[in-house]
Amino acid sequence: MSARANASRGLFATVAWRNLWRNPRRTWLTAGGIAFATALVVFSSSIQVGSYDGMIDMATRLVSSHIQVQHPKFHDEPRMRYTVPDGIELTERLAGLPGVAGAAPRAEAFALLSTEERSFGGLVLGVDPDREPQVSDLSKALAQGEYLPGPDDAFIGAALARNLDIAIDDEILVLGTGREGSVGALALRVGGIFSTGHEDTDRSLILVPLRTLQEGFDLGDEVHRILVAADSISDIDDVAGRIELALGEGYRTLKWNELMPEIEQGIQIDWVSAQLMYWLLLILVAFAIVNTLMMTVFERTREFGMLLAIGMRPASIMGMLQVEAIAMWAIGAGIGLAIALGVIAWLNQTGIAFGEIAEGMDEISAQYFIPERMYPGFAIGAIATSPAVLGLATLAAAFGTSLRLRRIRPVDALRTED
Amino acid sequence: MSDLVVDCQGVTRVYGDDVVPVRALQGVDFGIAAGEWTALAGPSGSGKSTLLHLVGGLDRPTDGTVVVDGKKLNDLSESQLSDLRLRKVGFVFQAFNLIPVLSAVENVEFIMQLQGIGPSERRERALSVLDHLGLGDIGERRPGELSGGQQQRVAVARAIVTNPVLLLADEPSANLDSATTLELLALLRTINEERGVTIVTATHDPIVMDHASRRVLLRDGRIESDESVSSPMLPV
Ligand SMILES: Nc1ncnc2c1ncn2[C@@H]1O[C@H](COP(=O)(O)OP(=O)(O)O)[C@@H](O)[C@H]1O
Ligand SMILES: [Mg+2]
Repeated sequence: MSARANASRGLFATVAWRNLWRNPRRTWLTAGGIAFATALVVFSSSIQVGSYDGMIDMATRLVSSHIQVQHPKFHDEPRMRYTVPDGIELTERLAGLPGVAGAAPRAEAFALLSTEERSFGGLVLGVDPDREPQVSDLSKALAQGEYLPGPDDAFIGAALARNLDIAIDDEILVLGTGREGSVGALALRVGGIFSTGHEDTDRSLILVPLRTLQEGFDLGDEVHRILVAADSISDIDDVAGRIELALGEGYRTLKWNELMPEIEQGIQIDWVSAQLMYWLLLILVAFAIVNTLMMTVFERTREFGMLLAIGMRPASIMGMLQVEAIAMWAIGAGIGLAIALGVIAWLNQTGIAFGEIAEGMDEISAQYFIPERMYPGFAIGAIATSPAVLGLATLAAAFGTSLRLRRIRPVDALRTED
Repeated sequence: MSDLVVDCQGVTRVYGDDVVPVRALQGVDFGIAAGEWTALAGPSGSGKSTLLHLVGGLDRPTDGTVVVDGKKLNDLSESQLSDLRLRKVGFVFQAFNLIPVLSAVENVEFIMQLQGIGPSERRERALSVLDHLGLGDIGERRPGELSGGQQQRVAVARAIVTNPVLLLADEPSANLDSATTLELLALLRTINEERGVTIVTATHDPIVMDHASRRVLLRDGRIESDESVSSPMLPV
């Protein structure tokens, strides 16, 4: 049987290949469907993957940075006294680790912010004015005035400034609880106003020089967080691992997805819902493949009947149909992949400017951390999966359809109605 | 007795179910000697095709035995029957004999491929049989580019290239005009006489009957008459 099958392969392939072009329109339609689905899934997945990196990048650069080192309890229970042991010295060490782009210390306190007329609650961040720009883009969001020019200057969110109805050079009083339960108080001047476009941030944050906060709130030289920016997003896990190794007991290292779980959840929801769409598309195309093959078998019932009559085995005919179907798939998947990968490779260099696509996109993108210029990444999973899924569907379709062959009785197929 | 290529005993074939049985053959005893050209004659529905299919291993009898080339077909599995059709029997049907996407010579080659014959040998044999049957100049054409008569003659070439013990043709001339029919019959005559191929044609075409060396007349699934023709009509 197998010797016989082997020797027969040559003309089988010829028959299969020529049959594809017996109805070129149908072949191109089906292969085109395969190409379209492959290209769309691969391309959209790559856009998604690229946008996630952009989102993570934007979200982490806003305030939290990629990695933070904290007191083990601080994340779950942010109390003043849960400070990072030897924070300042540690910052220096972390900044020197490989893969680390920058490190900066922060102390923080919830406080009441008051002017003569109004009061609002806010989060006071004590930052190292020189180091902070290495881990966050708050300094770049400067809208008015200057970024922390002097020890008693505050850098305040635009919405918070609006709420407090204050402008540059106005006075602002900060009242809170110090490290040991004492009263923490700061008298500041509005030195600068920032606008990140991210509402929560602009409404609740006020930055002051680290030393100022430490002094006013009894913190000595202690800090609550050391923020670490990795060289790139793909390095984050490695860098976090290195930090954990370097620190040992008494510290907790948190990555962006622990610091901002909502970002990761958002990404997961987006990914899963897109996957559903992709699978739906692939299933639709699989049905189109089944349909095409059904028509093929239906049209060629007499031919198959004749082949069975002259002694060709049903399995061999199935094999011929499989070759035909796989050739069709290969054409479609090849074209689809080539187009998608070509476009991705190009956009990967030039980027897609979302801001230019639609009016008002800037604000939306700031809220949801959609970068203004996005560089699609190569979604390896989709590149491998979508052609494979369609290939399996093609094989299954060809197999399922060729089961019809079992019902072809050569005698009936050849009987002419006259 | 054993030089019978085909030996049917009490062959019965009932189609349909118990409620509406169609008795296509009702106890046919029938043998064919090597080298004979038998014409199965009879009106439409008399059972000619049914008998041809049973003899060719395309169908199984409801009752009775069919022996071809010493093999009792009743005992064979589906794949053994398939093998028998591939190696022992050549078929020419009324139409749809050829694979549309293959040229004439490729169609002839195809059956040898099924038999596992290598590329160079099968091409050589295909070309030589087409040449021998006067079809050398149409070898590269596909069935769609051939006339009905040419297609049937290529089908004959395909049927005999594997040297079967039996060539079965069911209404081979039904779609042909009489001039073309005569060409086909001349071809069958040649292979019957020169190559000694045993032929069975099922037909209700008098011209075809006139060329056979034996006429078996079927009526309502029974053999009504069986006569040998001493001097079959010679081709014009
Ligand atoms: N598959 C079938 N199912 C039911 N009846 C059939 C089938 N094939 C043939 N018959 C019937 O059997 C009888 C003999 O048919 P057939 O052998 O084709 O005759 P012929 O070839 O002489 O015209 C006819 O009555 C025909 O209708
Ligand atoms: Mg008939």
